[in-house]
Amino acid sequence: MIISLVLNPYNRLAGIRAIFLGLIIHIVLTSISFYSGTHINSNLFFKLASDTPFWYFLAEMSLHASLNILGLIVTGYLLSRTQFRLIDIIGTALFSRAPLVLLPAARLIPAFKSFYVTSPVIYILILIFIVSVIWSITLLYNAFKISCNPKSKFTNIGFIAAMLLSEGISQFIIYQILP
Amino acid sequence: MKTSQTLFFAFVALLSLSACSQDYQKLSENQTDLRKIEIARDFSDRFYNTLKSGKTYEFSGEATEPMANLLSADKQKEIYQQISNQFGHYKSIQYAETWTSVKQSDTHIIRFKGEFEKTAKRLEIRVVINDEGKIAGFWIKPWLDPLT
Amino acid sequence: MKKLPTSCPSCESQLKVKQLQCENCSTEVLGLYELPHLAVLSNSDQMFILDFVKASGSLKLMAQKMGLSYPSVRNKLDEIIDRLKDLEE
Repeated sequence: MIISLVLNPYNRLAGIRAIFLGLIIHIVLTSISFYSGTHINSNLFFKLASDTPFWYFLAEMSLHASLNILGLIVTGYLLSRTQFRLIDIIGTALFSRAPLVLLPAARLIPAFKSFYVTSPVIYILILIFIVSVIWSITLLYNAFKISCNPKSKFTNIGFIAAMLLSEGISQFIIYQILP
Repeated sequence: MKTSQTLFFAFVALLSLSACSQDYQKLSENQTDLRKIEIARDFSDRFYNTLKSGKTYEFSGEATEPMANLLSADKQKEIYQQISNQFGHYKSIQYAETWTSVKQSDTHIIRFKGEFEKTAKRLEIRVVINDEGKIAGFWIKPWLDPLT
Repeated sequence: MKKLPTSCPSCESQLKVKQLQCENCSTEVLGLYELPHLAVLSNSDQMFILDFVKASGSLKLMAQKMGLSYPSVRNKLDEIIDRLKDLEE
């Protein structure tokens, strides 16, 4: 029961409540990322660097989240046979980013903040990142299924395509356009 | 309960292992040599400000001979041209941390964060000061928290 | 209250109504009538539809009453709509 709630809370959580919690999670995630110097602007990699001001962390994380959500909305419109509410997909998708806080939170531990690159610490951080991303994407997929109710045989492919496309676009903007 | 205890002890063991295995270690504030930090900061600031003004930096014994030979006038111009094209002109420098090699504890690796005009990202300006208090290494690279 | 059987226990085909009886005057009506679509739905689906009508068609009220999220309730309604469409075909 707890495991199903942890992987799919969206039978009970959507709409305005999810948006509200999702925004809090977004601010907390950005703040902890800034203080720990952990850039999580991708579902594929992370960067350990206290090298930019707070607004930069906020910009890249907001960009990444927004493009993921936009990708799901477009995919939802293409694959869903019924109407769905934007506040549901936005709220649940935002909430799905909660597990990403694991890596920046771990980096608040001094041993994980500053270390020599050959230290085993990097492997622990990679493991934490993988776990948090898998959890987050699982939540995102369930958010997409519940909020948009796609009934097409292309649902899974559509979700993957949306994730890859939004990933590519967000990385391009972050590394080519942001100063 | 047993599984969580095992996991906790494994985590602590891994942390201890990670503390033992490093070739370099970060110095605490009490252990840092303020004189070396000042030498490194002063040099870095003067170096980049000189290049920013269009001139080249002339060494006067503050660096080792190989270091001074490596950073010839042409090389300096080339380096600064690349940096300013990509990141803009140098603005300022801020001390970050000091590391030392476990084998050569008199040599200090001093890391600064440099601010440049065209980018919000701070770059690492790394200065190596040897046991004689001379500059033995000097790099600029994107900042990463782990020492690479 | 007894549950109205809708499918054959032997071959699982849809059952039809053959005999109706008046409790008041014992009149019996014989024929072969299709069960209404709503009667063929499961108990939980029928309760959902009743609650939906009583909530004046408000999915928001339904969600509050059932303790579920709005999209979950809407998805359940979509499933019932699909089942009814299948029955109509």
